[in-house]
Amino acid sequence: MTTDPQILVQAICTLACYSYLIKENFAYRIAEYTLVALYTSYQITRLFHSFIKPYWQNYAIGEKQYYFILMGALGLLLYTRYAPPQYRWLARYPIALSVGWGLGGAIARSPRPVFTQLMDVMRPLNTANNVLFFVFFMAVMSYFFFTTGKESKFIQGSGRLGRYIMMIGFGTAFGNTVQGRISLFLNRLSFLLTDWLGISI
Amino acid sequence: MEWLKRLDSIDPRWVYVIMALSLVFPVLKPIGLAISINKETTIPVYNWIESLQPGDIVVGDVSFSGGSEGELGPQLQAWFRHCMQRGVKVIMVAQWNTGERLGYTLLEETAEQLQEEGIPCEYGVDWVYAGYKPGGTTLWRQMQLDFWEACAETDMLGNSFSDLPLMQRFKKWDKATASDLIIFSAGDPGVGTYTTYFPDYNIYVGNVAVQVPGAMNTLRAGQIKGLLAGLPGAAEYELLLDKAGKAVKLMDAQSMGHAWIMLLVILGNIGFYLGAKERD
Repeated sequence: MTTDPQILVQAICTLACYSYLIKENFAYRIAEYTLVALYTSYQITRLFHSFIKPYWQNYAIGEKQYYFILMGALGLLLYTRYAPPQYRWLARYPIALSVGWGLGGAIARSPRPVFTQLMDVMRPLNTANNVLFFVFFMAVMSYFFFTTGKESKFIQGSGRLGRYIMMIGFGTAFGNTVQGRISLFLNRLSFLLTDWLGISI
Repeated sequence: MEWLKRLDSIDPRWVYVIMALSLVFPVLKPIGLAISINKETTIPVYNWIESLQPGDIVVGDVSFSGGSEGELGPQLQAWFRHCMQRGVKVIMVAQWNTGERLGYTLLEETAEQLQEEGIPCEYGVDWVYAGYKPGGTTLWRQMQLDFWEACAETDMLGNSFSDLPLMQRFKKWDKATASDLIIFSAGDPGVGTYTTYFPDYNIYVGNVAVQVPGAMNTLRAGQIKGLLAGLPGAAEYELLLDKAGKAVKLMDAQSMGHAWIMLLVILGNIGFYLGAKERD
């Protein structure tokens, strides 16, 4: 067993996290709060050194792009959420600007990857796979057909098939999620066995 | 038959204990269960590196953090080993700052092993770790125009690009310098950056298992050319390299865990069915 304090802390925190499986307990909460506090402080420090400081030094001051100061002041308005109630509405302006900016950017850039997949839907019906894909695709789409024809037996049957197809898809995703969680545990297990206990695997 | 009805209400702690045992024992004493190699996902990634010439440059992206190391770490190491064995040069970037140091540590570990085996793997000559650069996904667009400027001309360790021989061939990231790339992604920002800004490049992906069903659309549509899927993807790659590593060793445990969950699903359904009959 190693005496390296860094590995020891990691091992104790790992065991504390998995102790939640028995029941919520003090050790788990200590590990949880420590992680949240460390992560938050790390991100705040990183954001300051990676974004705020260089932008201030290089652009606002260095290149005299004073509108960065305006943007900084606008950003500070976010914290009016913690001010007395009569000033809290000010926080909506930076949110509105960033959401609008983000949406505009996303709408401008998103179509290409999506349309590539939409084009891939148009496949020649020359193989059993492609025929099945076409049938299943139409069935799933008909499940989300909420306007006219909903009373039609054909649309209802097709929608039911679409629901089963989606359930298979969700089942696949769930199976993969389980696989991912086991992999995560195996990584921690190999750490505990090799790095902490010194057992070679 | 009363006990059968209680199968749908097993104490979860028993489930966890048996799960832990079924994972620990195969790790300590491997069973040697067969691992089949996926022709649709893993083989294209392997064939891609095999098709490159010594000296070609590829770019890798570490977009994951500690929570995904178990799956993406072995993938990254196996892929990197393959590149070095083939003499392919590697430049690494990172979209996640939380995984930047982790990715470097994993590659450094592999580089040391390769050098012990006599395979050239010198930092700055065979590989460079540019690392995380702040600025979001739009910075990746800037990298295409001027990689040096976008990265402030320094790698993660603080070395100037002008001191790294490999970087003299990589002033900007375009199809002439590196038309192929791979991203080891556990979420967002991730593959979307490349399907949006690098649609004409040959994109390969290493995903955590939970992302794989969603990634199959992009694989089928040709947006990505190959996919390493979770820990099995890493194990398959290690087998293709004929260098069984951590992933192969852990696959027995993975399979045993799945077997236990399948058994639980069957038992739970039997219990539910018998209980439902009585309730009706």
